[in-house]
Amino acid sequence: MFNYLANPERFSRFAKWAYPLLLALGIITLAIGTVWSLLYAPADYQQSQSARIMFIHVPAAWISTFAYATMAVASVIFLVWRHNLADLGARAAAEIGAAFTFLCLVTGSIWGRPTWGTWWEWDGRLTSVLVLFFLYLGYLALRSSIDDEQKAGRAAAILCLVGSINIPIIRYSVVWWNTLHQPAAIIRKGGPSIHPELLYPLLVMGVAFMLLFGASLIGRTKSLLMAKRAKNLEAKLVYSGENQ
Amino acid sequence: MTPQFHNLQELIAMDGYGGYVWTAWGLSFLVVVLSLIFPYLAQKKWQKRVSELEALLAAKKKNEKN
Repeated sequence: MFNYLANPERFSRFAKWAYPLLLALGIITLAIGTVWSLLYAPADYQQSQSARIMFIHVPAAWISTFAYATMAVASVIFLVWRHNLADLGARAAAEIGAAFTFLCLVTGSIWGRPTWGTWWEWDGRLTSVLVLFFLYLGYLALRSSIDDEQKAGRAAAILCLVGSINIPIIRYSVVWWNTLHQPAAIIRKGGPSIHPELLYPLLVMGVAFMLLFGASLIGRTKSLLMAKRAKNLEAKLVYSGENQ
Repeated sequence: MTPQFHNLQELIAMDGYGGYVWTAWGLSFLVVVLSLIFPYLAQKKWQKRVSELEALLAAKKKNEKN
């Protein structure tokens, strides 16, 4: 699969049908999830209507860590097999992951104000997600600070792999530390603790965010691939001009 | 499934949490839309540039032959 898509021509052919498909499915699922979450899901018995923030905060949190995992896998592929497309995919995942981690932090903060009485608390989960956001920014800053694309890709891939230690810390922060953030309520032993009436619209929103992340990832990777092709063509033009 | 709100005012007010809920949802839609629009616009921009450069290269090769 990785080897198959590593070829830019094959990736472009794959993107041609996968991008609109994921986009269309994502928009339809998002529309269903939005109506279900805002109009039909019942209010939480403790948090009342403010719990409706959960339907976007939790999927944003899933994407923030999923994008990092995508980036880490792409970084390994780039470091081991030297597939340049994997490097572009990692960069695309970093940009989208940074946006969704920002969204996760802000929506969590907005939700925290009426629920906990504070916009921010330095607890394990919040702090580790903030570290994740800085890792994304650091990754992107490191890439743009090195002119040589291969060197930039390698340095950023190593940073990404070192930073991946933060992913299990985020996951288990609510278990390891006595924290203000609630413990895992969906992916846990014994099954989800959320009532199905709240769980199903949340899962629909999660699927919608995943599909749209996929569409965005393919779209951004394709645009980076085109930018690279344009640079190669510019270099070819300059070279042929110099040889005349 | 029954709707949780009887009218638009109730939906906007959200039992006094409307400011928090709508801000969070509005911001989320903005981020989702931007994360889809930016790659699309970048694709269009680079596609145009690649076409221009390919045309330039083709013209240059033609001139060289002549």
